[in-house]
Amino acid sequence: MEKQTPLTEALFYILLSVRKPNHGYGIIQEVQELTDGRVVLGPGTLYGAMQTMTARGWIRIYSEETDSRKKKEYIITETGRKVFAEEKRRLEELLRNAERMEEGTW
Amino acid sequence: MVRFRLYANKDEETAYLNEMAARGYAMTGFFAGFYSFEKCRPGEFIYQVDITEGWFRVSSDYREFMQEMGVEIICPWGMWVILRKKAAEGSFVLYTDVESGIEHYTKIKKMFKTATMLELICLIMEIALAGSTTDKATIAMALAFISLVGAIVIVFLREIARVNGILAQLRERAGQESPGNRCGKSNVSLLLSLGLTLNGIGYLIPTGSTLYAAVRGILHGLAIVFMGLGIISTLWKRED
Repeated sequence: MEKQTPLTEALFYILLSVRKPNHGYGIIQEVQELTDGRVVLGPGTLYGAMQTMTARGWIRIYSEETDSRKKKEYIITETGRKVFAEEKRRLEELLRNAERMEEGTW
Repeated sequence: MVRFRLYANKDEETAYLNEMAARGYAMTGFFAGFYSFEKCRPGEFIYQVDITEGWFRVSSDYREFMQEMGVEIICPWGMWVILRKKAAEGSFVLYTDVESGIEHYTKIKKMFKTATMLELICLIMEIALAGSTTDKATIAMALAFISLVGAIVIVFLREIARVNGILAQLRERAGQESPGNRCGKSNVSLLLSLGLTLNGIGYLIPTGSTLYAAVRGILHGLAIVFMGLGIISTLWKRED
């Protein structure tokens, strides 16, 4: 299996945004809010990421409305949660070690 | 309004479409180099060009997704698809991070590489054909194709070099090793391509009347001049 972490910033925030069922436009908005407008996902970037993560089984389609205004909703899978947890551990380690920088300054 | 343009460079094509939209002409259709435009409010739309997964089509997934994003699919053509969004709805950039940018340009590079390989196979077959016959008309036709295909190959090779340059820059930003040069310029001059095109057209002109012969002569003459300039310019750049 290919190395899956570190996650790119886009993958990290998309996974976070589908912890509850969410659709494409909702994901963009949520990521924008979570990062105070720092990360704005372009449609090409989001589409590619969704395709990749669906193929890897990290997310799945939650609902597909059958009327003319189709809005696919996505949700994170168990595999997705595992990948995210692994990434969280890695980030915690980084942050923990980052604290050491302070030790050198007095 | 219809305009004829041939672009291998999708970034130049995007810039052209956005420049037209800024002047009040919204691109609404494309067929074999012919872009059709309709009047719009200046700057009403933002255009983008994406590479597709299919040939002359986009998947229903892609279509639905773009629809939800408020992005209109104007038309798929070959491996490309032209998209637009109302400028009033905010900015429209397809790829917003380095990673997806690398993925996008890698796909483009792969497509040009495949196309170049196919063109080279055609070239070899045409050369074999020209060598195996004594029929003048067949030889002329083969020479025409060889010149035109050669011209296309040069354009594609230059495009691959440009994309390589973009990829090297993106990889550097992502902190990855970037073999290859960042300048993204091919040494092969576009003049050589122009000369080959004229040469090819020359061979397509039928023999017979003196008028045709004169036109043919002029085309071949110009072709030699351009190819000569192209070779000089190519070698010149190589020495830098």
